[in-house]
Amino acid sequence: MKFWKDLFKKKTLGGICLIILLFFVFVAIFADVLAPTKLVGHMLPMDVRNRLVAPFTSAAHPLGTDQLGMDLLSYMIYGARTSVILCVCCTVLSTLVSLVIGVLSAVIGGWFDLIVQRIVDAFGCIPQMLLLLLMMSLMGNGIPQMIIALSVPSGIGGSRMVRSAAISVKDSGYCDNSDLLGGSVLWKCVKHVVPNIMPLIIISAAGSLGGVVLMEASMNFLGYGVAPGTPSWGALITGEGRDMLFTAPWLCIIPGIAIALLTFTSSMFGDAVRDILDPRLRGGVGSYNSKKLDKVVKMLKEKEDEFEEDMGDIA
Amino acid sequence: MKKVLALVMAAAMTLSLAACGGASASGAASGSASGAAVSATVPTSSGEAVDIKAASLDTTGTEPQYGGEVNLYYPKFYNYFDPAMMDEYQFSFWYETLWVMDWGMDNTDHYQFDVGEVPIDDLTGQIATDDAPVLEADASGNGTLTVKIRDDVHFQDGDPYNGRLLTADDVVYSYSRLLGLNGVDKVDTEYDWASTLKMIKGIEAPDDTTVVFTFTDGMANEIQEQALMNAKVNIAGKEWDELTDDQKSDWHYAKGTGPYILTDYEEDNSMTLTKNDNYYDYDERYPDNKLPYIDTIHLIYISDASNILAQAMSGELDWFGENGKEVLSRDQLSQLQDADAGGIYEYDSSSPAAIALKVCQEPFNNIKVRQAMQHAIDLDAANVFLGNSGDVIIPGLWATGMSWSTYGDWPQSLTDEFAYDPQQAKELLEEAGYPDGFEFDIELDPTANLQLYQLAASELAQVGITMNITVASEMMEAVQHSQDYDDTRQSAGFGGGYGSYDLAFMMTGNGQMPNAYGHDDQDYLDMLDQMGSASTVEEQTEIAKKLDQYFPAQHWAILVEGVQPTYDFMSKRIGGYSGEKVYYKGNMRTIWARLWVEQ
Amino acid sequence: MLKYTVKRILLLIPTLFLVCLIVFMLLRFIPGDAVDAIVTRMTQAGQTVDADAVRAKLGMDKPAIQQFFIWMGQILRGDLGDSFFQYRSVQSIVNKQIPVSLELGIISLVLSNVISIPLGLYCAAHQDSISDYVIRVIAVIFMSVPMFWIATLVLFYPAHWWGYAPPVKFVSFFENPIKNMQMFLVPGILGALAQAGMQLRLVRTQVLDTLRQDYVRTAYAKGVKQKRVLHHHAFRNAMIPVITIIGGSVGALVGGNVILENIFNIPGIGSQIVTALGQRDYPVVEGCVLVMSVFVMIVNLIVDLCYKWIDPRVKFD
Repeated sequence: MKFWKDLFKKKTLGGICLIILLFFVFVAIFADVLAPTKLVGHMLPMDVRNRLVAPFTSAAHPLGTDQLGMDLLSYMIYGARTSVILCVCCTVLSTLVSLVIGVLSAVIGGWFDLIVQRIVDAFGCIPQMLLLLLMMSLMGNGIPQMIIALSVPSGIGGSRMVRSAAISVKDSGYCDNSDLLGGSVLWKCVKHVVPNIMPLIIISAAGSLGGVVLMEASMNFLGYGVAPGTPSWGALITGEGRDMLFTAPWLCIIPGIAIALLTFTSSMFGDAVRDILDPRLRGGVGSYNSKKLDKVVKMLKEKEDEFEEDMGDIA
Repeated sequence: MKKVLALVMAAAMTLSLAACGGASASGAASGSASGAAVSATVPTSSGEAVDIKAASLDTTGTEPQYGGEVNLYYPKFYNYFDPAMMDEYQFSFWYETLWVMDWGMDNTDHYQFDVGEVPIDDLTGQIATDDAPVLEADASGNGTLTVKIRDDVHFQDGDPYNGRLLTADDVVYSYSRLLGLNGVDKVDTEYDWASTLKMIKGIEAPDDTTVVFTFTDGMANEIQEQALMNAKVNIAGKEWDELTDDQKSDWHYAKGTGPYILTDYEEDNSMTLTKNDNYYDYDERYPDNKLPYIDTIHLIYISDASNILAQAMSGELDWFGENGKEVLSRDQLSQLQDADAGGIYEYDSSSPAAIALKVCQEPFNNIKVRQAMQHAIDLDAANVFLGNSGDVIIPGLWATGMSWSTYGDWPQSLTDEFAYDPQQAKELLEEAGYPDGFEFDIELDPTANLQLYQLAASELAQVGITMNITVASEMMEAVQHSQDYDDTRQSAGFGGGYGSYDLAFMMTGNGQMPNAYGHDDQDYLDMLDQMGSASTVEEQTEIAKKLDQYFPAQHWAILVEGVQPTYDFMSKRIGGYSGEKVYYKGNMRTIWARLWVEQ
Repeated sequence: MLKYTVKRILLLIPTLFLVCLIVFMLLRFIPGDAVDAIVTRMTQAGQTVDADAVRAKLGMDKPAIQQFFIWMGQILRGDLGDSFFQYRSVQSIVNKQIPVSLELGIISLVLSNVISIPLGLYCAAHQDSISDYVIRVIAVIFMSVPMFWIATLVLFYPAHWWGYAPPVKFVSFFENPIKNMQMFLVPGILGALAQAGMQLRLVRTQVLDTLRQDYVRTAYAKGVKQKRVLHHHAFRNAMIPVITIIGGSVGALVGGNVILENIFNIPGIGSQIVTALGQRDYPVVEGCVLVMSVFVMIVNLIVDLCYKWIDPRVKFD
């Protein structure tokens, strides 16, 4: 497929980032196999007398241990699982919410559209962080709650973009506007609209991947987040990482690098996807910068000189 | 290639910040403070020790200096200035009480800080004169206490008192409003005054400088006198009740007779207190010196621990401490020590972390289960985790510093019940009918050390007991759940607790220690009653010592750590002080009037 | 233009209504034992209440619809209620703390734009050059690193090396601007950095987008120098979507940067809400979220009107 070719040839950085992301997913799926120390119940075993071992100094604990003697490598592996679950589920759920609201709103139109859009506007007015905190405080801590809190508001917000794309597709004349509340006509319309806005969906999904892990870390900082004991990068960096910042900096640096890496690669991958799929930003003819321009000017000049030479022969 | 290079460059530039973190490992403390005795060290996780000082007397004899400004950490803002609000942090500057601890005292061996009561001989006047009050009691314990107050105490200028003289009527008013005596409406407050002041049934002012307390029948004795004098009742005047609710929430009306005047107030951020030039008191150790010394005090609330550290390191914060809670982690404390910003002081925490069980619920009603749970916990591991080098200290009902504690005199059989023995734990569980263990939930208050409980959970998991931890978002919520015996969550942290701290907090309105663990142990309750109605100190002490060992033997609370010290900080600028544990809340009322700052 | 303005203002009303509805409904999902917790706390604070009284205060006793309209009526009259635990009215909390968050937000906004717009232009003009990549990568790194981590380092190292820490005692800007700025500058810069990363990339994208337009191509073909193309043609038109982006970020500004407020001890609306949520002081939460949302609505409206004024071709639904 052209997409994959473009990804790895033209936007190599994006391709590399995708591979890194897939690596995270792999680690997440096979966490139980890969982790040197396994979860007992839902906690990692603690070997307090070997606490705060520095990384790369011990064969038993390649990445060191934390305050309670939990092996950091295992913790990071299980934490990857938490982060990947959050990222994937939030993105999927958020995209789904945007899709459903946006497409239905666009296709049905009329009073339905009006009301739904006002609701979307209203959600957009409530500051995102506050809404998040409010929802988490009402629902309690835990992964399912975080998924809902992180995806539903952003999904509602994203529906606006989906809706405008869906409207432009719909207006191109494939849908019969007269009887849209009849089930089969509605469904046909939706079935037509959705594939055509797929690129946009993919772009926005890829773009929103990155923020989830950071938001999770921020929520942990404020006291909301995963249940205590669940391995999570965000919980580690905001809890022990900050407390032990100067005597055991690896507790902060290692999850910090992991979070930054995950966010960074998601963002870069999202950028690459957008660059490839968004027709307006394709490279080639449309890309202007000084160096390329100079090349074109030089080329034109050469052609001009050739032409003059040729002409000169004639004249 | 270019892109990869750029990526590497940029990444190296930005992430080099993080690398700096690793470079500054904590070094050994240089122990540079002068004139203070070093009593112990705080080992940090890296094994290096931090010098800490026991607070000690300023024996250098340096003459105090006037002037200066200090910044103190302050944990709680009320936006409400009723003198009956118990929190001593907030109101120890512009309000005063009748009596305080003797400022000139030299040793604290006979203090019972954790009881919160200072022996009568070591209490001195503040508004009351230094002369001992006169106790007149008959054989059956009915009687009165007559107290003389100073005739030179003035309220601060401005509304509502406008600088007038304090009289005995004001004292009567202040106590009456807490109990609803003398026709004064009883005030609703956070603190349960009815139980602290249960020993008096009446109070009068025969003249402007005399106050007479009438004891409740049978309670006129030395013990109750001590309790009365220790009750920290702020003295205000009846003008307070004439204020509207809005005025009571307006800091401009917060006036008292104290050494400092509230001159600025930013909600939830800071308060500024300025020296009261009309304050009446003089420094006991330098009798010509009118108090207070320091010109301005700022009380500041700082929400984030790393900011507190930064402020202390840069000299912007002169003191922090919060009774029963570690403000900074040990790691952060070692950084503070390295910065040589001041002294770090140790005192025993009020209550070790424990899981308070509701023994009316299964399976906790079976003592074998409770014993098994205690055997599953490795207290030594907790010690290692917390970075303490000493032996594990297991307290009884009373804190180990108290005279009622029998720590060190325990029979071996009792101490053995706290030994780490997972094998024994499993056997006990089997005997009790739980060969495969069981599962239960606990709820922590937000200030509890979560990791300590996680450690305990993993140890319990080794014997088949699964403990699920949730953290309440607010202290009061945790407390409330801990008192609900239909709620199956067990409690830990402030809501649960071990020993006297727990009991003192749980005191109910009628003055009785309640049944905090849901047990129906009549012997225990009888002993508590006897203690409460004891008429001599000796009788009280004898029963208390029995209780001290009775409580741990029941294992109503599962200890997850031994007694641990906590640490507070005082900057080098604070020029001098006397009295140990100056940061203990009982002292706050007087020390800031007597502290001075090097100019 | 006038018609459009009037139409937009009229549209505010249903949106406002819906915001109230959403906030109201969310808070009806208060878990049961939260009510008990409030009862306990209020009793401890000296107020005689029971669970029913608390429910009445929260508006959970009457049928929801009726309670909603009573509550709406109160709001429209300007009465936001009283805090459960703080001995003051929600209105006074809002009045005191929203300006503080606003100040932090404005500083972040201004600084972030000062950084991101010129850099974004530069990157667009030198697309795919090595400096473009370095700047973009740094921008993404700043976006990827958790803010509280940077803030902790920024607090600790100056204290460690130079004995400097930003002041924690709040002084209003109108009382003492210098002391006030000393407190707000460091968190303002950090907030700016977080936003600048994202904005820089957006600016770059928008400018590149504009540069691909036909009229730019025409200008180049006519022989106009690149610099003039950029400044005269592209910049102004590229700024239109950039203004939208700035306008969109204003919403975040009003939201109060909760983490920065918490770390740097700024008594703003964000930290107030976090505290109130922890204490289950729901009137405060309700009131603050409502006021903030209204603010965002109004600001968005103003931004949209400016956008429409600058580029009349723009249509909104």
